[in-house]
Amino acid sequence: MLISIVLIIIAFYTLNLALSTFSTDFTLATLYFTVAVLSFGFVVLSVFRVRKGYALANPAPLKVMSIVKCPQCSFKQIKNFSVGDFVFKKLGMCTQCGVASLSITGIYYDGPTRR
Amino acid sequence: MLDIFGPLGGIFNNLGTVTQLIFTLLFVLLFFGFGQKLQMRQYMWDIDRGLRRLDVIRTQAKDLALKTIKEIGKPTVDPLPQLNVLMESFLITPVDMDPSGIVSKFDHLLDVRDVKFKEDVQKMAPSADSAQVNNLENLVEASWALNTIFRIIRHFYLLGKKTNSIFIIIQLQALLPMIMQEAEAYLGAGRAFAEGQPIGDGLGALVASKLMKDKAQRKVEKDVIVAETTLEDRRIIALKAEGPGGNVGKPGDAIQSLLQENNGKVSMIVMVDAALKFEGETTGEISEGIGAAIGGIGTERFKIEQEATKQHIPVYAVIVKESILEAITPMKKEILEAGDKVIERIKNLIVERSKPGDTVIIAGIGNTIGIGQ
Ligand SMILES: [Zn+2]
Repeated sequence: MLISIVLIIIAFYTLNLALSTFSTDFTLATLYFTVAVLSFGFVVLSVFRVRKGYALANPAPLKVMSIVKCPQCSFKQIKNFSVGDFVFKKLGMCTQCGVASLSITGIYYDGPTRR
Repeated sequence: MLDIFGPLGGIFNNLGTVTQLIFTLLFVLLFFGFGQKLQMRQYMWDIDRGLRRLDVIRTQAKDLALKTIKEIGKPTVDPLPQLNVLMESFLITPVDMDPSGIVSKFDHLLDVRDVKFKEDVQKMAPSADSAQVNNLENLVEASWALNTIFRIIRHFYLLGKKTNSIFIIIQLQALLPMIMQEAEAYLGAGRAFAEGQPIGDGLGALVASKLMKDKAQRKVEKDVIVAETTLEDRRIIALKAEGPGGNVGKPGDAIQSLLQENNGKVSMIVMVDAALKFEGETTGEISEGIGAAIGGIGTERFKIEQEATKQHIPVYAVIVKESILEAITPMKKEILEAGDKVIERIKNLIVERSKPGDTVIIAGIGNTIGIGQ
């Protein structure tokens, strides 16, 4: 933080110098200008890095799905996970064939690939 | 006007040269004189930022634990003080100067800790059933881990700052990305535990539960379920931790007692587990190996190795690769799909390595949260 402030002061000072020497000494003005740009660049870069560091949080809830299957018929349904679901939980009657054999056969996270 | 300085006037006249000199000096000082100090300052900022992030993560995890305990456990008194006590709890590892017998000492300590943790959680959440208590216990443990990580990092950060030691700071800065990744993983784990969702580490339990589905099951040892089935004309004894609460059970004890029960009759043991992949490897990739595939501090592995060696039984491992994050956050589709492939691999393995009619133990290792049987 301190360095950033110092660098900003330096940048403004050199920018001022560059502008005032522009008409008299072109080479010197270029040098001042380079220093100003570098200082500004560094400050912008470090601020950007700080932003990135804080933006790490990902509070979006994960999309977790439950696969509901009936072994008697071909019935298969993928629904959102709800609390209380677990693999091989019996869900009772199958809506398609009426046999009480419906169960959850898998639960998985469905979302963007992470690291 | 400048003439009053006489010959010195020239210097003041050429202000540009003076400024140039100052800048050159400044740069030399900046890069050579204070270079290391500057670097250290920058590292400290990095660590400070990481530390603040860690603080946010541990607070989130603790809030989640508290919220879930209140929701599920319906406590009559505020569980926060009790939770704070649990957050700061510790385990003193046994003396290892004389290492003989240390495994059983460790085992005993871990048992005591486990029982105490579970009882404390049950006390905080009186309305929770046993599966929910297991889930809550896992959640509190994840939150404990985050709290401990934060405390350790803060300790070394402040120590480095106080002693001005660049080497402490450098080490911390170097480890920070890995630590942050682990912390994020623990937070994800906390979320999964709060909801009771299966995690990547549950793959072994998933495979075992697929094998023992609709078979007669019995409970052996601590929280381990065993069922018999047949596969390729072999008698299969499948085992896993008791689900669907978050639990790893004690498969070491279970395998030991199963081997003693079937003295000399077991011809091979196959262990299925999730294993940490190296960076660049594909998640859900299956590989086979030799040895007891089980994580943890090593007590369970020791028991399996000991009994298997005594009876000269080969131990094979089938593992599914995943990252640390994938292992403790909700199970990815690739890992779920690997489950069926693992069963095929086990079939091949037992056809190659045993005879029809043989008895084979298949142990599904891992946290069985969200996976019944
Ligand atoms: Zn049906």
